[in-house]
Amino acid sequence: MRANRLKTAFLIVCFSVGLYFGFVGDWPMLFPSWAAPAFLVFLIVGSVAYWRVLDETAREAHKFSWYWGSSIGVALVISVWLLDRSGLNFIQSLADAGTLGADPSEAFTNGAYTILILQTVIYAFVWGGWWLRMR
Amino acid sequence: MDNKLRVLRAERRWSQAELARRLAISRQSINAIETGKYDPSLPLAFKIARLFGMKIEDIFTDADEVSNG
Repeated sequence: MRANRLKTAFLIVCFSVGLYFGFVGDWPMLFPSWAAPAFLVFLIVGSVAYWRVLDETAREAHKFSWYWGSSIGVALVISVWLLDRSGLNFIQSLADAGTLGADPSEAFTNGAYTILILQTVIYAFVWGGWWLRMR
Repeated sequence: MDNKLRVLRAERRWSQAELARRLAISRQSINAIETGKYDPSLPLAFKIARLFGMKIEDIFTDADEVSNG
């Protein structure tokens, strides 16, 4: 019971911080410079502790979901890139229009976020499907 | 893989939650194993066998072996 509460609390904290920094703010504006590495350490330690309290079906669910979530997420991004390379050349047009980011640095960051978000969304669907199938 | 977990649990009048507690796993895991949707690892199968004082092969049977006679 206590382990379940800890797991839930850890997930809520990580999800909230992730949402905050993904969509609302930047580190330097509100937090001191040590906050980012401190959160990273918390994330690593918390992840290890979280993994240890999971039983084997919950671990399998994560492994299965991450395998398919990450693979399909990357495959989708590669498909878009291959489509572009096959002669459609829409990526350059989007970049010229400023849709991908104001500068190369922002475009790179947005690209990384796109892969991560796709992987995470598909991961969540697969994870939900796993537990629905196990019911 | 087939198993007799539900029968063995019922014989002892344990709920899924009680069996889960004794094995230190989640109730969802017990349900998944009982319904044959998840095959436990060897360490967990040994743990289950120890709990019921039986051999693994007395609890878990290979479905192909059974159908092949």
